[in-house]
Amino acid sequence: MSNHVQPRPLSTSIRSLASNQLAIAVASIIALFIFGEIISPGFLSFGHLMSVLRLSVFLGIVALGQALVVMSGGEGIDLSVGSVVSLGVCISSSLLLGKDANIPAALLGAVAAGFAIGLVNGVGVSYVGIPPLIMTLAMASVVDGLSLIYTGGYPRGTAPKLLEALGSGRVLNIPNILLLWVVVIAAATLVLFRKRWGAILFGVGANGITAELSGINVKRFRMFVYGICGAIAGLAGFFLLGYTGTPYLSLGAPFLMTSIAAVAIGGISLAGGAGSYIGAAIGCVLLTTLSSILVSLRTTEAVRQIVYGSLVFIIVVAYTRRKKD
Amino acid sequence: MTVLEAKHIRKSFVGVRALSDANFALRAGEVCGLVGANGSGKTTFARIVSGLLMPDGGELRLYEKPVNLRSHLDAERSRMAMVHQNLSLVPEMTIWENIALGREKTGSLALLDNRGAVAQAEKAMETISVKISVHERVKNISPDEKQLVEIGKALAKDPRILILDEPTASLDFHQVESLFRAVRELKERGVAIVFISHRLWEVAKICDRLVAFRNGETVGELDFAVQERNEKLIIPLITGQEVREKVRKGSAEREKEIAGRSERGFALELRGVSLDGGRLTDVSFSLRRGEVLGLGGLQGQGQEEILMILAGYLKGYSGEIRVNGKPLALRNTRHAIRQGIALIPGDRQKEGLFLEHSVLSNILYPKVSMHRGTFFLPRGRYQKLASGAIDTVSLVPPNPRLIVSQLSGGNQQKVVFGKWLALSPNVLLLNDPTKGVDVGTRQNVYEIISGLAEKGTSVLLYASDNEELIDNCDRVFIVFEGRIVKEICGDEITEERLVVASLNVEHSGEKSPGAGRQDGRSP
Amino acid sequence: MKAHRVVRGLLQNSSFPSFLMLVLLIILNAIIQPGFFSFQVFRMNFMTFTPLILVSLAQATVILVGAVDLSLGAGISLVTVVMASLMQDSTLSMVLVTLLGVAAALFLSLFNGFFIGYIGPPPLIMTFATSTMWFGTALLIMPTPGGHIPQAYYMVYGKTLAGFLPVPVLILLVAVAFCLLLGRIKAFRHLYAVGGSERAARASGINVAGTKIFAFFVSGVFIALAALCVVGQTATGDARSGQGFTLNSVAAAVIGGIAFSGGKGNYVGAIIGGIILGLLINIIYFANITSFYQEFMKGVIIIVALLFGAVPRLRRELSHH
Repeated sequence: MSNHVQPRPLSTSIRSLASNQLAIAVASIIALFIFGEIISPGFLSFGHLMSVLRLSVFLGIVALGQALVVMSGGEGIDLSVGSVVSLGVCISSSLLLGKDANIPAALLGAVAAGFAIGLVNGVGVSYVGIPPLIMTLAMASVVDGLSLIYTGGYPRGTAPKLLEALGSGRVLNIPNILLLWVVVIAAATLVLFRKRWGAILFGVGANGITAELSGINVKRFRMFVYGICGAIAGLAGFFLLGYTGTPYLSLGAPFLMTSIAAVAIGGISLAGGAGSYIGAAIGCVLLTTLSSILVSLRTTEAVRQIVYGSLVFIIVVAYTRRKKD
Repeated sequence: MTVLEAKHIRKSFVGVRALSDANFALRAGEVCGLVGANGSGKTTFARIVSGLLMPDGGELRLYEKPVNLRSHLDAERSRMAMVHQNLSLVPEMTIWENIALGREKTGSLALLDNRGAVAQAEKAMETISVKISVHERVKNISPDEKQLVEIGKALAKDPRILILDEPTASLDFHQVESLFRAVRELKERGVAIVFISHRLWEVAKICDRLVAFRNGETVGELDFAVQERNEKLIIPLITGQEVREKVRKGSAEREKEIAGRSERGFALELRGVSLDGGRLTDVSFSLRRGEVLGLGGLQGQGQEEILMILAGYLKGYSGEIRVNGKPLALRNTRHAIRQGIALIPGDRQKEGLFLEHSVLSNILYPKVSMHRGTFFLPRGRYQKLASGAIDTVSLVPPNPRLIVSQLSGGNQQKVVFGKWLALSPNVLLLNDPTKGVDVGTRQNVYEIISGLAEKGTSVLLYASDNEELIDNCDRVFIVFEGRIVKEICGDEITEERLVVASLNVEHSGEKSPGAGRQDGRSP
Repeated sequence: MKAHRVVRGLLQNSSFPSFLMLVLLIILNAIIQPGFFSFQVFRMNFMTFTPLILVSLAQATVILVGAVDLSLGAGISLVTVVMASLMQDSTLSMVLVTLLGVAAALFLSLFNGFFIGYIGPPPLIMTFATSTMWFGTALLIMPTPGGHIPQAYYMVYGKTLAGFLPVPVLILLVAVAFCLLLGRIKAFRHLYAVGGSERAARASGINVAGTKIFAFFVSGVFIALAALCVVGQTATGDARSGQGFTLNSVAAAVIGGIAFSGGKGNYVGAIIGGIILGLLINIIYFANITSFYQEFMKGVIIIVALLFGAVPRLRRELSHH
């Protein structure tokens, strides 16, 4: 028994709408991999599979924050995650300067900065009452500007060996960061469905007034959810640096659209109060797989954008039609 | 002429047979009541007749000709209008815009004819004696006024058949009288009216006939031309059982019980509680342990505000509140709950439930919210608690995995009760707990309440329905324009006294009772 | 006291806080921008203000019906790209391509509107997806900014008619006339109903899907005009030219008092919001803030503006609580 109605994927409960959607998503991933193997032999090799999964991790981490914000209700969404990831990359690299010893400071810096930005979002949304869409969209500009100001246009520093080992290294040909993600997925699922915090989140997202009358300080709770999302995005930036080695401005930009797409694919209702992180995680893998195929097809950015957009469009329309039936 | 006739209507939804054999007939110039418990099929039937649903079988005739209503617009074209419960008003728009909504007339060049719409709205409002300006926005008027606007909207369509679905749910007796006057006027003009209501005494008063539904079929009819206008005749048709005479303890016995507990002090004391803007002024009273205290009076006089303050939801009040003798500032809901105060809110769907979550999830939420200590939630223990709560409220069906939105209104309200039972509250605040709930569930609810009171829970009950106050309360305080204007105790709680006090007719310099009293006892 | 009621009605009008902000900003601008009240500067300002006001109107219409259009900016980019890649020097070409541009803008909007109206996906994600699609298409047509807009065409945007009416202002007047006409149409009233309470609208017999499509159509008209302005202003096709417009349009509408929940607000507010945003951008430009800080400042200022817009509303809501 879980403290929430959301069924586990692949279960056969009455309202298995979500699990049907996820089954389709998983099937799509498999189909994509087969297609990829056809057009580019070697695509389905273990090594490449792991590469794709590794790339999904960074998106997966960002998507966790986005998922939490969406689940917290009140039309929650965070359009500043991409910018916060970029900022995280810049702050991490400038604090690390290629030294392992600086890792704790850099980690703290990236996460703290993300958390602070998230809290500003949260205050604006929860206490001032600015719609999340606008608040976070405006903050994205602010954070982009902050990155620019902080780095002066030229991001400095590099990732130290230890971080690179985490970001790009493998154990038994399984990427280290993938193992980390598995832990994150397990932890997130546990918190959402077994711990008090998760149960409260689902209630807050489903109906803020009912939750408030049950003793929850809804405004403060939602504010912290935005803070957590920002912190997670900052963390993702930190890890991302370990993967790329050197920082670039706007490294986090692609994560915005894809994190929202992953949440949509994962069947998490934009109205809040329902969903699971596993769905979003599957969505991340799907999107990254698609991206990988597009790259091996040597498509231009233009085609990639069109394909991405069309995919999300088709999925969202398909999901909506199913819900209506 | 028989304007509306339904024969052997059938309707099923996925796996559920809502109607198996519904029969109904309505003549011009007649008011026919339609009664039945939640789940009896009466709501489904009403929706079929008004074109919102299509039946699976049976025959429907309008004006003695068979019809096939595919949408409620079809029904409207047949000069049938249905009054919803606040479902068709746009809050941001004005009354006249709402009344004209969907039927806007255009003048030359396809441009809107606003002046005509305003005039029509004013006429409709006049018919039901509503004195608000039609230029007022709907969001600014009270729920009872909104209900009246809904009725006005239907009247403006100049229907030949009018279906009123729970039209008096939010109205006080004043407004109900105005509505009845309008209904009688319509009758004289030959309009046929279907009156659907849970308020049986109203049905007995205004209807010429009534039809009762139970378990998806028409089970009986009453014709008040030949039979006595007595609710007691109606109830057996609805419940299928003999009327259970309520075993109610005499007020002397209740007083002894309560006095026995008073040594340990009061559960709640309010002294000089006020809210800005005059919403509440100098409210003072005391609630004894195990007592059922009623808040009466017309709608919107401040009763809801008192409850919301005690629940910790409404902030910014001045004055003193004592819980179990301790003066406290109720800073937030968590604080109130920790003091053992629980609120059953007025709008269960908007304030009391997570509609898309399971019964289990809903029932456990306050418990989870107040939970401390263990790392993971104790599933086994909580599941038992929930089962216990489901049992106590007699939830039908008693399945914790059901999604709440699939339950009937009465059962949804039971879930709201069940939420708080698990926390064993000391003080139970009730904001009109049986609004829109059928007779059977209403009895359930009050059995629960009196059961709790006997075990020592103190109850503060606001009911818009005087009969509930009479049947269940040990004392009643009447609230008028944010002040307590009268206290009525024990056997003196009668319909007449309640009505008179609610209108604040006798304000002959009587001091506001309860203020300054040390023991909260009756005078 | 009738005067008292009039004043109260004025104060409660959703556009009032934005009107105050407008006055404040005009004063600030007058201080910072040299020759603010001169005709030259007035004309130049309106060359940038007009597209902002137009997109504010476009977004406001969509928000009023209860949706949102995040593909607005990308749509404008796509239209400019299409026009710049097709237009030639002949008058016929200019006229035809202009009509094509307008048709393209309407098509893009109706695409969104049709799906949101009839199928009902969440507008936020739907328009997010289409914005990526439009952006990709624009990139496909024109990977780098360029194309050809004849001089005769784009010069029109900078002209002044009859000695006192700048073309951008004329375009704005056309838009305003359109707004006035809309206000008297049944479908427009239905727009407010659907945005205010979709359930109530449906129960009153209103065609909800049709109304939503209508809203997107109207929005498309404003977007078309805005795209023409952008073409006139930049004389190029650029797949990224519309990027800033999305945030600007939403901010302008909300600052102008259009409630995000739908069904509340009016075009007067949207226009004021557009002007306010123009003035804000002006201030940033003329305050000599280094380019590094400009993006940052724009975001901060928008948030502050929203704060001021939100506070009076909040106070009103709290007193009803």
